[in-house]
Amino acid sequence: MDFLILTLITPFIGAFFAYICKNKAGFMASIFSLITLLFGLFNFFEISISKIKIYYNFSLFKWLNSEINFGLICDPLTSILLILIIVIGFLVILYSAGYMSPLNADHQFYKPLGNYYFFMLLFIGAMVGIVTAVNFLQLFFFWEITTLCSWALISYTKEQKALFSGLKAFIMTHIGGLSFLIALALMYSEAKSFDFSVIGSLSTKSLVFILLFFAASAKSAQIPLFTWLPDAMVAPTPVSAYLHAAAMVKAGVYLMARIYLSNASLAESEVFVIGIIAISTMMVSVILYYFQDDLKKLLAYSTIGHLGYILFGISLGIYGSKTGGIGGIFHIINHGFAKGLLFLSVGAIAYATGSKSIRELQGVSKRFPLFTACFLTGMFAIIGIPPFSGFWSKFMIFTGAFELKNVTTNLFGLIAIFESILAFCWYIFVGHKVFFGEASQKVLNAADKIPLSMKLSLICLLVLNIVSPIIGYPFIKALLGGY
Amino acid sequence: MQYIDVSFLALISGMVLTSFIKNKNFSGFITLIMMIFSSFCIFYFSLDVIIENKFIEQEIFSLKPLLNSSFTISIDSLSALFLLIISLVSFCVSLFSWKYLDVYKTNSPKRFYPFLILLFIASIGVVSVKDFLFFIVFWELMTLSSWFLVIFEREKKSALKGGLQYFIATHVTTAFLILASVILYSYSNDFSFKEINKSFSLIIKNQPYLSHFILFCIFIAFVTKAGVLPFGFWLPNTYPQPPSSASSFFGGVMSKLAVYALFRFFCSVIPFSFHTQIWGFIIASFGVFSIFVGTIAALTQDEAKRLMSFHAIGQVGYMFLGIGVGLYFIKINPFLASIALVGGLFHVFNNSIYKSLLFLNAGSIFYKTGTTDLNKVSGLMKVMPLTAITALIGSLSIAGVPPFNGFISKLLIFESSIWSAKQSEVFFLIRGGFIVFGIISVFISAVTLASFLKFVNSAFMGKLQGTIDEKRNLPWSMVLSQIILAFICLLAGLFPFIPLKIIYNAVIASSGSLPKFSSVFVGNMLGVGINFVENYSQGAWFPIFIMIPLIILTILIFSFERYAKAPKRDVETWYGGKEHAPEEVVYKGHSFYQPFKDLVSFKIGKIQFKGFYPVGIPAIKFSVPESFLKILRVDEWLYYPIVDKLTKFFEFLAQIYNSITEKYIIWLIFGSIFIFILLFYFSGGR
Repeated sequence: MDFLILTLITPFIGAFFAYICKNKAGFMASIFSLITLLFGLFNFFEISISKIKIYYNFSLFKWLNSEINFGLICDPLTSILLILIIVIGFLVILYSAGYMSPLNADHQFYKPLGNYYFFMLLFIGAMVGIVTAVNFLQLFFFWEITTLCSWALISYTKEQKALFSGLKAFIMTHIGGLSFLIALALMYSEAKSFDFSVIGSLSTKSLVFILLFFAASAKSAQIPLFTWLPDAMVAPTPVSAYLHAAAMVKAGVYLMARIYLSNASLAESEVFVIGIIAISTMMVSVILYYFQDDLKKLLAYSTIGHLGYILFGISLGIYGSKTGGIGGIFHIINHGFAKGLLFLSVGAIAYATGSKSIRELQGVSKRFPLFTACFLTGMFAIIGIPPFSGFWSKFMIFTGAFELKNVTTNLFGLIAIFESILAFCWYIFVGHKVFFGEASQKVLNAADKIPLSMKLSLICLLVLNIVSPIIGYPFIKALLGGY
Repeated sequence: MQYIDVSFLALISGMVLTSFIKNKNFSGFITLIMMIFSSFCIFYFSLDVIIENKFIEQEIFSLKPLLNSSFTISIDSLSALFLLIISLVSFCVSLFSWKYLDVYKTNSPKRFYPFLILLFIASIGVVSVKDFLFFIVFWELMTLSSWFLVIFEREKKSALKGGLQYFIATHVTTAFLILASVILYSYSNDFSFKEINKSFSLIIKNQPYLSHFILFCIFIAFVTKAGVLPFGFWLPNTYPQPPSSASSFFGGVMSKLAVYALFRFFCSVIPFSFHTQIWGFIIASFGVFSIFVGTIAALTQDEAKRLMSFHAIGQVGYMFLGIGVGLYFIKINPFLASIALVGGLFHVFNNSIYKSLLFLNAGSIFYKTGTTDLNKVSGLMKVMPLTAITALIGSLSIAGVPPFNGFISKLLIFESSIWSAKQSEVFFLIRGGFIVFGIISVFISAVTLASFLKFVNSAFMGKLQGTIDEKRNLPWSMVLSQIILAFICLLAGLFPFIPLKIIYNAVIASSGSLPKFSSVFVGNMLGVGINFVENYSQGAWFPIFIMIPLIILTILIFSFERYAKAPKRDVETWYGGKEHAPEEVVYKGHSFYQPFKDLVSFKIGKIQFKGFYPVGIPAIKFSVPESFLKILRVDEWLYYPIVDKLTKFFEFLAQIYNSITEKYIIWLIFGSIFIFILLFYFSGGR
């Protein structure tokens, strides 16, 4: 059986069912996301790791007078992101089953939750669509669906601030979508095709590349369109964990990675542009998060910085250093798991104590050892302490930066190491303040009962975080071999 | 070869098991069993490697296509020496911890034992890899697991502060190490030490400043971990915090691993050249700075564990002095260099034994009385006699008093640094520098003795004054571990030939171009003679011949006393005619060396220096100017104003469509005229 197409279709069916069964929406959503996960895993068993398989070459749009093939692709890059999307998708929906309840001390959520699960499952389906897309047009189709879902989910609580943040996110990412559309038009008008590898043969190569990069940077919150992500933190925490850590923002870097892997000849000036934007985003994010009080905003700025790392790695790959490019792609999966874990544990603390502010939370470790373990694991993975996952990918990016022996990349590499140290200092300081020491008032008054589904998904994600380098390693090795 | 795999397996299973056990006794017991197993394996294995001068290599897995590095366990004599040290100290530490954790009633052992075993695994890993990437992995793992041990008591503010300083200081300097490793990789395309050695000579030839920078990064990373001042500012705040058995492992092994790393890098990774000489001198000078400030500051300390941390700083300075002198002379006079290097490494071995012993003694004091403050405890000899004897042995060893082991290593270090006066090829200022270093280190040896006399006298001698009424008897396991360490001190001091041979093998295995053992040290089991130049003995030390008459005399005197049956009587202390309560006039720890303390305490600006060490540094405030932050918040000055202006513009345009019919008709007429004009223009008049 062809499990890939099933993996694509199941979330959409599940979204429909979740919307219909309003009161049992959580249960239905969990079942459907579990089925998606199983289909995805069967898909991996079917294809061995390095094989590229394209299904269903059928062409639509015969009136465009050209051969545009649509279908599904599953190569190592897709597989890495697919693991990230469907595993974290399932765990986040399981987590939401416990989190979205009236007992939530941070924000009470009342049934019916049909809207929420509808958009979440739609989102999972759209993300699977993005990573399995075989040309740019198909990718764009699913890209815009994710923009729509993000808007709906951020404004879920329908408060004033949430509505404004959702609109802001929608407009900013849609401006990116507009530039994507212009790039598509340019591509078609010259080469009559939307294939990934068509960029190298265009005469307006640089312009199309810059437009696509602009779209990716709008989606992945780089300079200049990065201010929507910290404001999007008013969304419920599972939404933040999924959209803004593990999946949606990874769509932008996936686009860049796909361009990198499919094209062998790109000019150096564009690489320079990507490098500058990535590094300056890193520095801006690390300065801005230094004095944050809200834990979720802190994690949002940190996400922006790490996406800068991934883009920096990919730019090194385009420039010629294989290690850097592979390191950037490896960082996608490491960062996804770690940030997801961090967001979910912050959400759990907010569920129990009702506060996300660093000033109000102290001494959490005595009452909630599980949350402490989860946050510390995620933190060590993000900072880059061996043997956790973040170290390996960051080290590969640094190696790639210095391997080229170019003054510019050396300088960028130095700035990246410096940013890593700064980020570490603040993270460890926050970790000390919030988790160790005497328990503060809010922690002492916290609720004792945490739903089982939340605990289960936290433990699963903790284990996955520790083994994520082992999971990702065969795929990136295959990428190197087949490049 | 199987032995090291077996021990790794035992350690990992111990770690997994103890993370789930809440009972202190049981989890301590499991740790002890696993540790006995693995310590014996490693001990046997490392002795095997050293005696037969083997070289073992075994590859576990490799990252070959991605990064050119592989996890290979490769052990030569230098690594085997350190494995020996680790196995001895870890065995005694786990034996001690078994019952020691009963003191911490509210903290669970789940937070202690897994991290302790992880620390053992990481230390074994650090000495057995010859690949830069995996070296960094194990190095950071060591930092991580020791951080968890430092913050074991999570509610104490001092523990948190110590842990934070420790982690930040060591991690920031490890980032320098990572920088050095990626720069070296870009030249050598391989992470293993052999390949880096080959390509480093190219870097020295073509870009000398870059090679100095790389050496600086490596130097700073290891010097911070070792605790050399001024980079080791975190050490006195950190080492007293964890439970004493963990402190003993830190002071006994962890700082010595930094010395191992420095020695390994400067001998194996970096080829011998003029750079080695420069950095040898720099290492030696930082070492002497650390000796001087560390030990004098230790004189002013009143709390037992803090006192010992300062001494750890001082003693590590001795090791760096020995290694620095050795590195400087390695091309000029190999005999001198070999003596200095052997002195440095022998000091590492001795120091790990007696430093661990002293920390364990402090732990016993804490177990018995609940405090380690020297002002509050005294006269403990009556209640723990064996511990007091081992403390005395440890103190005499660290001070360098014969016949214990500290003496011979200190002798080698002093002699090598002062003997440099005879090297006429060396620039005379540098010679003068080395001689001054030698003189300072001899002086500080006396200060060390003074400081430890203070420790032993205040804690153990004198009248028994209990501040805590609850007196537990020391369990036999704690006493046994201390006796084992003290016995090794005595043994290494009486028969120095055995450890010297072992260490000389280690030095040759890593640096390679030194003269044979028999031409440098002549002698046999009873003692040893030292040659600084070929066939010319400069000194000899035969401890047995001195100890035997002393022992005979001691036995004679004691038997006389026993035979004569001299009467003993207890009297009250005579206070010169006044009536005093004993507590008012007792000579507490604080009272020792008062005039000296006044001499070395001064104030510069706002910072008070006690014993050349600043007390109470004001916290550094760090803030970014508000205007700079405003630029970064792009929203406020770019996006919102643009959106506002656009909205206003659209609202202005919307005025066109008011619901007045006349306006629409005028628009229609003008619009159609405009389109007709356009059509005429495009059709070109046809």
